[in-house]
Amino acid sequence: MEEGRYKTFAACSRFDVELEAYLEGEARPFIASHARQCGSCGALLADLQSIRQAARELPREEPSGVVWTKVRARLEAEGAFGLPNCSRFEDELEAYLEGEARPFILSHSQDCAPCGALLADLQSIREAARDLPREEPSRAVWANVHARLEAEGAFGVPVSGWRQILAWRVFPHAIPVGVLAALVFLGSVLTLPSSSIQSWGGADEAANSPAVVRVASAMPAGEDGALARVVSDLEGNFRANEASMAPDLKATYEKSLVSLDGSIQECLDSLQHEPRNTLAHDYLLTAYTRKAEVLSSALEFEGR
Amino acid sequence: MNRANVSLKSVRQILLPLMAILLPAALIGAAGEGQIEKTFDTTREPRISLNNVKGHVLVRGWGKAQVHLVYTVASPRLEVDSEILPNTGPAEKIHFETHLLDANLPGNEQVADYTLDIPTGASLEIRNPQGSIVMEGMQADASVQSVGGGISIRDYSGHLTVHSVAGDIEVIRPSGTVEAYSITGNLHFVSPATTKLHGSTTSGRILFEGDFMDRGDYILSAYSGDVDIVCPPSASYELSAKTLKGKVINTLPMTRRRESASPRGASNSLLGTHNTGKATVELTSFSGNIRIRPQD
Repeated sequence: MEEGRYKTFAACSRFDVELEAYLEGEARPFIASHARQCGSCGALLADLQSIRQAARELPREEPSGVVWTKVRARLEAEGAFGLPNCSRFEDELEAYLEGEARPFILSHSQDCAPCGALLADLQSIREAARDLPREEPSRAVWANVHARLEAEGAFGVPVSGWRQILAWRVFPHAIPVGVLAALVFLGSVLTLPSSSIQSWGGADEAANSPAVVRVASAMPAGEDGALARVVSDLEGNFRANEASMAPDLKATYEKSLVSLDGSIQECLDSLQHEPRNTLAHDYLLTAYTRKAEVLSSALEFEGR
Repeated sequence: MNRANVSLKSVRQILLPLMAILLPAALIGAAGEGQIEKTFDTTREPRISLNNVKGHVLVRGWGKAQVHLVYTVASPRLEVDSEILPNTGPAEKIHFETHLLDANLPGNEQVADYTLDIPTGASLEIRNPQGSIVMEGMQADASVQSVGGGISIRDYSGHLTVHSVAGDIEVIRPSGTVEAYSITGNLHFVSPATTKLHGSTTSGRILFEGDFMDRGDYILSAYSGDVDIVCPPSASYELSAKTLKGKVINTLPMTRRRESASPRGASNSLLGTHNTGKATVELTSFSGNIRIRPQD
């Protein structure tokens, strides 16, 4: 008798435990079988199912905005959307790391373990970064970064470089679009190892271009040849369109191009004698870049 | 009586429309022959841009939240357009553009001269390919470009980017970041209070007159032109001066140092510290001379 009551009690307890999962759709065969054997549990299940059925048949009503506002306010007050102090910590962290006085950051990082750990991590990363040796990227890297940022329109005001001239009215004109693409290419080429460029024949093709035959014979490396080719393409466009340029403007550009050609030639001569002369090489890259910028500017102003 | 009334009425009928025509013309005339003036209410920090073809552009900063434009055009076949955003309320962005109404307009008739008074906090973008540009007393960022014209900028404290293919560039008392580039033009920096200055020219000369700020970075590079530095004896800087074919001539006391990884090719270089070396000064020229001397 005692054992039977115990079994009944245990079965009802199991029913209670599994009921919620059953009502949520899980396969719980015990619930149905026990409900058939146990009058009270069966009545409870029947009640719950009838309530659910009735609820399904109720019309769907959208609560008013006031209700949602109240719900949200209540949830916020209960911290359901995250701890307010942690949110404030996140908001102020960047300013603190950039050197602004934010006493809350330190006090909260002592009170809150996750935020404290985050701050400690960021500070250790910053310390490690400070200890790194300062390396000045090569001109090639800067040229590439600059060209790409410009191509993506990353520079608003202030604007720098002749290439912004292109950005301003690039789309109506096919030539400036080509020039811009060439400049992006120029920047990309600058960062490629010489071997990569040589593998697609940049130096050879550049050397075949009439405009650069004179300089190509002295080229020390493939990347300079590829650069010369880009500049040569730009110069070809310039020559094709120079007739429409205002005479005094054209004369100004011509004079600058002569000056740049002179410096390119002089650098190439120096490199022919001293192939590892880095100063001459830097000047060569700068001269090519400046020439590309001047040609781009000239193409933009042609016809004015 | 009637005749007199009719006569007076007739005169009035003729004079009123005539005055309506003549009065604005007289006002314009009072502003100067051919001058046109416009005033725009703006925010304190509007963006102002100007595209001109040829002529003189003068831009001055003032304390008002307004842009005051005065311009003259050399030909009726030249017009100035202004584009203002937003359409209502103080302008946040104003663009001025000189348009040639006749593509065959002779060069001497393509001239438009501008004088702009703008809020000191305005950021600027000016392009005047065949003309000069003068700017004074501004605090925000600016980009200034010319092809053949000279550029002179005074008392500017924003980030300044200046390009002229062939014109000279003069920057006087800047206190923001300065970048100045030319191909055949000269660069002249006077009394800079800036901590970041970069100047480069191919065949022009560079002249720097002034002191170097603590922790400032100064990079000046010419190709065939000379680089001249004239600074007070109290200036404190670390110097790197290199030229391949020219000479480095220094008349200020210098604690010399050897560079561990000296770039190959600098046949004439000077590396050292003057006073305590608070600023960093990098001077290079390919075939020009580099001179460093004290101010008188």
